[in-house]
Amino acid sequence: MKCTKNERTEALRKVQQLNFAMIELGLYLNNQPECEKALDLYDKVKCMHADARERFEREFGPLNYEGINTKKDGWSWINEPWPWEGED
Amino acid sequence: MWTYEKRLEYPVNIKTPNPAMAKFIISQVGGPDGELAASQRYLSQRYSMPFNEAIATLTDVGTEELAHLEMVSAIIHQLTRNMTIDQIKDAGFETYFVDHTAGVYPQAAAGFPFNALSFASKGDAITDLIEDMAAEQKARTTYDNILRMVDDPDVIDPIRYLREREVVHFQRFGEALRNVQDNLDGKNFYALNPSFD
Repeated sequence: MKCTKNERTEALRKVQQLNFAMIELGLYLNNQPECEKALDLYDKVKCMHADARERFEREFGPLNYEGINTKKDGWSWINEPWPWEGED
Repeated sequence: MWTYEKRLEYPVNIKTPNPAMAKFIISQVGGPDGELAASQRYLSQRYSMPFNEAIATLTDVGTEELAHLEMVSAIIHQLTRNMTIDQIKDAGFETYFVDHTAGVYPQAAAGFPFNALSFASKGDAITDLIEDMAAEQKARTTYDNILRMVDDPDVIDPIRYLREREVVHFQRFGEALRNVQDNLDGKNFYALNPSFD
């Protein structure tokens, strides 16, 4: 099952990278809210993040309450892995 | 309010437990310049901040510090997994172990528990933002000191990331301070408390 775990890590990394870009742009925009370049980039990254997130949650389970699909997975929120246990 | 994201902001994957390292890295959980103090410092200061740019900055940086608290806690957890009693004794980890076993508890490297006196919420926009800039530098210095003492690349990588975030937050607080100063009433020459006066 090594392969599946690597795929999970890869999909998670996309979410982490794109959300990091959103955090960085947000912190910058808080003090430079008129910057067109940063505003455009934020929009672009936000869409990419939403896609990456949806892809991750469909395959590997919820990242937050919004991502829980009770019809398909039941109460998947309690499933491992927990973030602090590390990745394989 | 807050919601939980079931992931770390940046990965922590430590293969080799090392309680000797956990003994001093714990300071970035509950020490004077640690991530718990950072998050509570910024989130407490928001309420008396008179300008939206600075309020948003404190909210977002405070939120990111909660994610950093989780990352440092993950580092401590992974460094103290599956320890034998001999490893605990050899590492000098008994003093922590006797009170907390392998639980994560917010304390400084020297052993004293988290103290809210390690951060300030003064209710003065300029005082607080200058405190925040100093706080980011103090946390950066602490991460630099940690980096002088660790040799495991699995530990160095997330610590370097956290160190870098202190530098970025320092820049953003500097911009927030500049915005506050630009918005001061022209008669407020001596920068009296813009949150109150």
